[in-house]
Amino acid sequence: MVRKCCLALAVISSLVGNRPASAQYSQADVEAGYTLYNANCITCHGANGDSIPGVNLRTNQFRRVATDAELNRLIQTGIPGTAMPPGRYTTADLAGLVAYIRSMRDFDTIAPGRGDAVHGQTIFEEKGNCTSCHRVNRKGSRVAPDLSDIGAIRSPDALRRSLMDPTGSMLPLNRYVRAVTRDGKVITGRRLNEDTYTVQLIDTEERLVSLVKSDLREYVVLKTSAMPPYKEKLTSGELDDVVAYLRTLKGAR
Amino acid sequence: MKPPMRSVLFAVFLVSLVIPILRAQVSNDRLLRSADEPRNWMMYSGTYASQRYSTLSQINPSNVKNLEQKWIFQAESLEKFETTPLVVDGIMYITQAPSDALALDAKTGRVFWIYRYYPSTDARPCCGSVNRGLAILGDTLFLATLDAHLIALDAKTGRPIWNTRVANASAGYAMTVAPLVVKDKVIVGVAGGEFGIRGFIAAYDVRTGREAWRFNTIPGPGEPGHETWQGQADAWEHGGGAIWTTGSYDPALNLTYWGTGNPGPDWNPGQREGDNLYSDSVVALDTDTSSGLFNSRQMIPTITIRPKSPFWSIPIGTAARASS
Repeated sequence: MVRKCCLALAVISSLVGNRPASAQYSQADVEAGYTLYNANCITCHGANGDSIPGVNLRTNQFRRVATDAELNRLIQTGIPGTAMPPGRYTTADLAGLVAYIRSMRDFDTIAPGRGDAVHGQTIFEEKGNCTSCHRVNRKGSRVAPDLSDIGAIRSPDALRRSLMDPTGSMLPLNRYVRAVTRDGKVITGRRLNEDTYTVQLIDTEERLVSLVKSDLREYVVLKTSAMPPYKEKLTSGELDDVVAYLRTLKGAR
Repeated sequence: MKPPMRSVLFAVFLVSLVIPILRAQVSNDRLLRSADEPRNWMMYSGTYASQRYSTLSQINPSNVKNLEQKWIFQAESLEKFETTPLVVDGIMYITQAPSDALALDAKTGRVFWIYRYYPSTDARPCCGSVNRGLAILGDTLFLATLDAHLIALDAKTGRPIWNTRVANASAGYAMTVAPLVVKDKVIVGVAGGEFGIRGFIAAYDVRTGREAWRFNTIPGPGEPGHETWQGQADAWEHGGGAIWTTGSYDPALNLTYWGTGNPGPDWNPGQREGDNLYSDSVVALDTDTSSGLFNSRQMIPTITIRPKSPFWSIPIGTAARASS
């Protein structure tokens, strides 16, 4: 009985201990870290910090480090023998990265409960014109990623970031490519698959296209998102509504 | 008066835009006339007449010896390959055991997308966790899974559209068959004749996945043929008559023909005395209602050993005008 109580107390104290942890980081540090994270870490770790199997940065629990100082050092040294490379950052940058990684979970506690999903769907389909590129449950174009299950795989905060800053939060996976064949035909589309010699994409007419790179005159991966930033197009309330709608999309299965 | 050249060119440009988009859709009409498109293979047996014969002549007896390897696709599976690829306008759709679907570039074998499906571990097929391929209509593919689900997939992206449980895998049901699309329905049958199932063929609405009709290959009490199940009282409930090859379709008669598998238990006929209809038979069903069991024939009466496979049904004669 005594042991059980101790265990319960330990659990409570660890929860309490984690909560205010983010409060010690300044908003400026967190924002700087967010920009750095999106520029340097997002490719492997993903917008939600959980793209690598077995590694979820948002849990705030790491296999190799416990303290901020250790996390700071790991970002600099990388993890030899793994895909985690060493990183060269200023002291201020490192403080920002640690602050952002430590706050990732708290970011997501901001949005839930806000916004009107029904109104969000109307904005998505009408004012936002999102279905001209995105598809949701068989409605809309396949030119941009299908969003039918986006609410199950992205946090509200990541959804909001994508709406505000599409290029900054675009995953490399979703980059467009522009190819020019030897006879001058221009093909633009979203990359589905690529290897050293060939690339497969879905073009702007929603056709599946497979190209052999040696047959191309030009081949460019476009790092700018074709999606317009909605920061100015929608009010903050409308953005909340769209995020609320996207959060309801959990996919067919 | 001649129309201005620019307008003519613009009209030609518009038509050139529209045609490829229309062609990308596999309409019911294209399926009916699939023999007119020998460069495509739009259903499991090539055409509704199930002849599995290509009229392409580029490869023939005189030059077949010159064939050489063009590309290799390596499956993420050590199971047997039993899939019949569909080829539609340069895209090849295959399955990879047990129940994955893939779209490949037919020219290079490179992958556009993979839909990975993890069947329930309750699925226990008798003879290999195989899959025989897909069906297509419009831009939707249909996949029958090892744990007896029927799944509609977006042919452009491989994303699931609906997922319908056809039968209970933990009761011995499985599916390895390639579905057959007829009009607005997708038709499948269940395997599991070695595990005490009662076989059936069922049709689902292509848009919603809702079941439209079900035909039990073993007749129940009060149905014609039920008297052919003697011996144990519940022999018919576990009588087998499984389906694992795709049926054919005769549009003139609106009938779909399916070959059924062995009765069960296969090695012990004492429990199921009688003719055991409609096991080891060809059944002809009205595609709209499943009713009207016309001309169903048991091919191997009162069988005690199991044949290797059910029968391929090839409609021949005035209605189908098919020559085999």
